[in-house]
Amino acid sequence: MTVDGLERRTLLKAAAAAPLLAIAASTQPSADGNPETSAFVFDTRFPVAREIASMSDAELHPIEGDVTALWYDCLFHRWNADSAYVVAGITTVTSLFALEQMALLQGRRVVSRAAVKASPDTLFHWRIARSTKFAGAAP
Amino acid sequence: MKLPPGVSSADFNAALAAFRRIVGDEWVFTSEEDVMLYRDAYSPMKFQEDELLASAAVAPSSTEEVQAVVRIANQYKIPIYPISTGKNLGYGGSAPTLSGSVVLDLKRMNRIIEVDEKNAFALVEPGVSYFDLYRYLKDNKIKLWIDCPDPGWGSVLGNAIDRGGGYTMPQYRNHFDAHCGMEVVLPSGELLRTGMGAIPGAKTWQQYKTGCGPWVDGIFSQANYGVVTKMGFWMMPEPEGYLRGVVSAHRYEDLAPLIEALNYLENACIMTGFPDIASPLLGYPPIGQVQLFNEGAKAFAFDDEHKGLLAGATLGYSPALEAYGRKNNLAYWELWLTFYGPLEVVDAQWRAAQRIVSSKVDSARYRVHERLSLPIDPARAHEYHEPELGVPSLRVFSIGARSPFNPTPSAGHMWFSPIIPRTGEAIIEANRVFGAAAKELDMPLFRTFTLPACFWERAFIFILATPVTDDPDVNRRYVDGFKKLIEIGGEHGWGEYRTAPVFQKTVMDVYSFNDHALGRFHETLKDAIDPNGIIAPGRYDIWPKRLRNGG
Repeated sequence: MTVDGLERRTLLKAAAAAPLLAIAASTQPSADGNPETSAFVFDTRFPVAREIASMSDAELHPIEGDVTALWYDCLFHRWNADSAYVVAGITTVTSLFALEQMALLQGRRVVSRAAVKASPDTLFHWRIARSTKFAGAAP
Repeated sequence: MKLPPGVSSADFNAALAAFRRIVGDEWVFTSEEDVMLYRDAYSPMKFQEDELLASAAVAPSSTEEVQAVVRIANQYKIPIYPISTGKNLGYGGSAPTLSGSVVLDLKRMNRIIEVDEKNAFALVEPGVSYFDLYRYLKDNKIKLWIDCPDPGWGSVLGNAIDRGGGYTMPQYRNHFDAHCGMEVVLPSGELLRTGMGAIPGAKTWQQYKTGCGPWVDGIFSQANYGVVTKMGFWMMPEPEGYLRGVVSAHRYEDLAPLIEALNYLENACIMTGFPDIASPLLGYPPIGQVQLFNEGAKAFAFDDEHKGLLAGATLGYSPALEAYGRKNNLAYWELWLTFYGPLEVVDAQWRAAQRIVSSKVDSARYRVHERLSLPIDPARAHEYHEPELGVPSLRVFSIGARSPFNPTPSAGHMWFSPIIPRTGEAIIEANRVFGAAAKELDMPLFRTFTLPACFWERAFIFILATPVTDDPDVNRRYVDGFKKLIEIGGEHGWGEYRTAPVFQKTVMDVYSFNDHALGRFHETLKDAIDPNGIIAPGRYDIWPKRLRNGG
């Protein structure tokens, strides 16, 4: 995937600052003790998000800000069926917030998050997984 | 961990141990990591000393467990703060009104107990979200609609007892009014059923609201007299069709007669859906279309002349701005009128609406924005404002991305939402009063002119989102300014319909007729019903005796 110079620099800066590419691409258990990433969510409006997604080995879930269909049609079922289902992504903070709130209702939480400079919004890369104990987990 | 006031560590730990015996170890949360999940994500006091925070949380799975938890709380005088799904964002989230309270998290109680399609009602527990109920209806091919707020992630029961609103017919979109029958765990642990539910073996609990004698349901909304564990709701039969027509008017002076027409159409049940008011000239989209505008297709892109005229307008008006609107075919005002029912009926209602509006605003123009035969393919709901088609959504969070309509996304918001009369004059007066006050207080609330929301029949909500920032000093200034706006509203006879804990005292102080007779009555009830003051102390400024007046 071709990205312009600015986005390439942004990507490289982000990669240097945080284990972003590892989160995106790794199929190995992560440092936070959670299993491998099952799905990767990325906001297609941002070149840097598309670039990172292209490096991920996980099941890809493109969004354009709105996470309704992603959660309703996919994550709701996956989180109910598979306690080891881990989702990572790179999205705006509001998309992450919406997913985080839905995740809390299903016994998940955001286990890592970090900001990535992008234009026009700051993006966040994040990981949602089941922890050892969850407030508000659904039965 | 911050202990509840007046509770010793020994008593607190004894209560937690008792809670664990009731609900199981895994459903009592005391670690900071867990408890912080209950903080208000939009709190303006985040990370400050006075942020409202829980001490622990307990999550029962049944009414019986709630009763047992409440009895233990009574024994040890532990304040407990019930939440449903905890999504009351902008109005306080899941954080308690009293720091140190134990959150009573009811989201495990997520059973849909009954949906009766023929009689169009549902009976649900607090943990049932709008998405849950929607999914249940779809999975079971039940031809009923939910009425949900936007976003639709919250609890059906929780939103109703917070007196939230939605987007369909008025009898359904006023969520508290749409309820029929409650089950409540009283502070003593005793179980109460209201309305017809007070009859053992009741056959009409969800079909007749009031039962006989005093109707007490209202005291369990925005209050702290019990824990509501079941609630019935009347639901909207899936309509055959949907029509949204837009009325356009080009004169500033048309606002008042347009509102008169709107009121008549709604009060006479000629218009049956959600009404919306917009102004293309002033750059104000209809509430139900904000996401669509924000997503770019219809974003306002004003030329320099237009921007200059807006900046020079007073209360949204100048002769030059009005002339600009005429020249460029930009309506000063639009009414977005919606109709549900068979298409032959909604077509006739729309024709009648045009005739009635024209009798008050002879130059009004009309267009049909949407005319749908229902049901539509769920995949197409995205093309519309989903809640108006009975579909819950999270799309409002796509607004966070920067766009021409939303150039500076914030870290959250506090809803300033006074109720004002449903008149054009009141809209202009509210703009005058709050606009001047916000300018003096340096509150970033207003653009050129603000239009109210029509969630309720008979009155407007002059709703404004006060931003929460990452700067504690700015947030504190906004909180102080918000309180001042509440007081100014009170001086003009306007009061909030709902508010976050940080503002509840200021808001309830406005309801001060006859030396605060209403507040004193609330406290009389509190002392009688909850003598130990364990349920949500301070909610809507109703404090138990032991914590009253700074106690």
